[in-house]
Amino acid sequence: MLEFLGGRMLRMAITLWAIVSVVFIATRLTGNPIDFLMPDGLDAASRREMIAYWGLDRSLLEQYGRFWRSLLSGDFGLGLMERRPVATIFTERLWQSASLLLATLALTIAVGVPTGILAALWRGQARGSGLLFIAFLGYAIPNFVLAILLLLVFSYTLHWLPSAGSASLAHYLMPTVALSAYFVAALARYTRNAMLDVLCEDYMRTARAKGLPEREIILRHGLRNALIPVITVLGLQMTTLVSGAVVVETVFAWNGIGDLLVGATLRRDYPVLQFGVLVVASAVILVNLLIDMAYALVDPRVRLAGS
Amino acid sequence: MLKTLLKTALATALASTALTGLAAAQELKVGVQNMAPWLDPGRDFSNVGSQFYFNAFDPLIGKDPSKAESVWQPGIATSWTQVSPTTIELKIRQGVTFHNGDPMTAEDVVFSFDRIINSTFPPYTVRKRDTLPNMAKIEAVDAETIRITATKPEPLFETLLNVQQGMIVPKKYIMALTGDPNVAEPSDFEAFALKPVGTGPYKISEFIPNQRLVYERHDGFWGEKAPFQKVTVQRIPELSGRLTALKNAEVDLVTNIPPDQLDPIASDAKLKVEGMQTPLFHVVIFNTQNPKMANPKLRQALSYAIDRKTLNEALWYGKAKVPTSHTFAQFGPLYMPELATFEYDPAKARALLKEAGYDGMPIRYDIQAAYYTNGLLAAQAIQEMWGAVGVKTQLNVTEQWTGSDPTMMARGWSNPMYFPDPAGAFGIMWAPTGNSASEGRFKADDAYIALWEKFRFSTDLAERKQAYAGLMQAIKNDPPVLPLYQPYESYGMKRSLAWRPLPGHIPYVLDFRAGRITLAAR
Repeated sequence: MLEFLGGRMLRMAITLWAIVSVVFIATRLTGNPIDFLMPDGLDAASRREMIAYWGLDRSLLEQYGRFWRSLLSGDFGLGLMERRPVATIFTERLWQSASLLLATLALTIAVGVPTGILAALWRGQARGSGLLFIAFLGYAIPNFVLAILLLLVFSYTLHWLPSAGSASLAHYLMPTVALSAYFVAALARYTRNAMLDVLCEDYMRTARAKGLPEREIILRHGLRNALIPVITVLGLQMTTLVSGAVVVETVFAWNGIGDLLVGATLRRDYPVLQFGVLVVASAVILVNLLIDMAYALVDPRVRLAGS
Repeated sequence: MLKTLLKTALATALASTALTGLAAAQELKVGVQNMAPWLDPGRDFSNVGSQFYFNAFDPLIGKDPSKAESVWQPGIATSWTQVSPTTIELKIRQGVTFHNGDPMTAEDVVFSFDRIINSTFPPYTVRKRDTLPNMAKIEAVDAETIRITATKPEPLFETLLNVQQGMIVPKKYIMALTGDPNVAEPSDFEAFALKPVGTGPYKISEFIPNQRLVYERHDGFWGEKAPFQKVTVQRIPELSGRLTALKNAEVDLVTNIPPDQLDPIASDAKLKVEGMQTPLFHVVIFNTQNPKMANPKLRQALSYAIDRKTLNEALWYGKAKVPTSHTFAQFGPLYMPELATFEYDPAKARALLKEAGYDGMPIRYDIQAAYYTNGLLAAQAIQEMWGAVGVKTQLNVTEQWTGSDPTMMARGWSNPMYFPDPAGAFGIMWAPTGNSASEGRFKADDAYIALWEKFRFSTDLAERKQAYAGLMQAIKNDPPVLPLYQPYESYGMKRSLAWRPLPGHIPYVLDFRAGRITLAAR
């Protein structure tokens, strides 16, 4: 297991280094942030002065060297725009995004798994097809379209729900639904398929033959086995979830990490962007690592293949 | 006796609760497209930041914002006299307190200007160069008198002492923010921009960069007290989000509503729209120093070929303003719409192209995709209009600033009014040492320089006016720029809110001071 972990850590470090380097170079190729940070009318001398103030007059190699040196010493630098430590900027917004993602995850599991089970049990029936159709809709509608649709109905027309910001629990409803729709649909479909596979297994027949109540057969013997592929899928959807949050946060004026990254990209705020990519990439890699570890624990074949 | 006392106490308590209740209801909620990343009036030149300073800071010399032309009023200075062409003396208002409770003194006034005039901090150096280059020295003559000395004769003392960059900030507070409390270090200025303190009618009680800003009434304000106990300004970046928040009564006022989105507000009986032609031009610029563009007749032809009235009708529903010259109503006596500097005449354009020997060379027109409202649409229309007189256009959509690129031929840009004088609008961009010259796409000849010196530093108004007319003629003869229109800026709000953008401010100022805004009780 240790050997397996060591190899995984090394790959993780290389992946992170590659991602951050690509972002570092790619952002600097698109132009100078000064065009977005300063209003029209800056004379040439002032332009040079401000570029030096941001440390962007140094050579690309020197900037790259400085970036890694300070990163390794735990200093993530100042945001060009806000002139505050990027770590502070992120911490301030972290809870906003994390709470939205957690709410989404909770809703996804709470709705997706039961829907999938029911769809499997109702296979070949009209109500089963109905559920699948709704799931398909959730799968097909882009989250920003759904977000604006929700806004239009529940805030703009009916005035039932608040639309902007994250001040109260009611503010969570629409963003969570908009963000969850895709994942609920995806999870329901995977759960259904996994359940269908499991339902035909011999041990299910055995459970029935033992005279267990149907409820227990489905939940204890069926679902437990079906959940393994479902958890995998959930982990793999992490990246989709994060990129979905970027869009949904903007629509609902949600001051989260996604909104921050969009702004930083538009204005070429390199330090914020680099740190953000580092954080998101680390999170995704970490989740993948956890999933792999879980596999390795569950299935000895993975452990052997890893070493 | 005891009974009476109890009664009085009870009544007082009740009355104060009632008052607090009333005051608490006095909250204004605003949804803006962009929130500032930091707030320091001295170093800020941006459209985003300029929305927020006027409520919390005061300039030395005030101005009646309800009038386009400059009508000076006492501000932090109660009176002033220009003692010589290069010197002004001002009496400082006594009993002014900063939001943090510190009394404001002559030292604070000196410090506020000194940090820019003798800057050790690049963002201030930049402002010194574009706004206060002629200011040489500021000193306190005594506790109530300030003397400011200029290098060259200064006809614009009042104008320059009214600008946002010269708003008064607290010396002691700023110096104590970081490091040595007796030295103003760059880190002090950085820290101040996150915890700004001024003398205005509202203090900034909460500021989260790029997210939200909360003003609270400053009870120690020297003038008429603020009409709201609290003003919350929240960033709602998406237009659909701002419209929804307004419809849903989450906010009372929203900014940045484009002209084609006014209907959902105007058609709602509870809402209304207020707007104004902003003192800012969207412009087309030409690189006069690119050999391919050197012939003035070619650039004249390109200007004559653009039908700006049609652009206004199609893109702004006729609400924008097409200027005849590089001039704004805010210039007062120097507002000269009678100068026909820029005209539409496609026949003349064709003739000039012939004279210039135009050979079908494609003109590259650079434009950012979404930086200016309608910028890309205008560029596409201009491509058609140039095509109609036989000019080939290569539209180059780029996020790069190409203003200093020697291969640049033409591009979209903006010329805002930074202070109400041609020197603060045309001058920032087109002075002999202004932005365009420093970036190498415009070069002033000796005649132009002489006219400029006379216009900028003459203390005789008639002479300034004549010189500016001369500059406009030079621009007409050898055009580096064509102002397209003054965009129309719209705000959506509750019908019960009495507020409108005022012509006496620089673009985008949200003025919530006494007398400028009221929210009727429902």
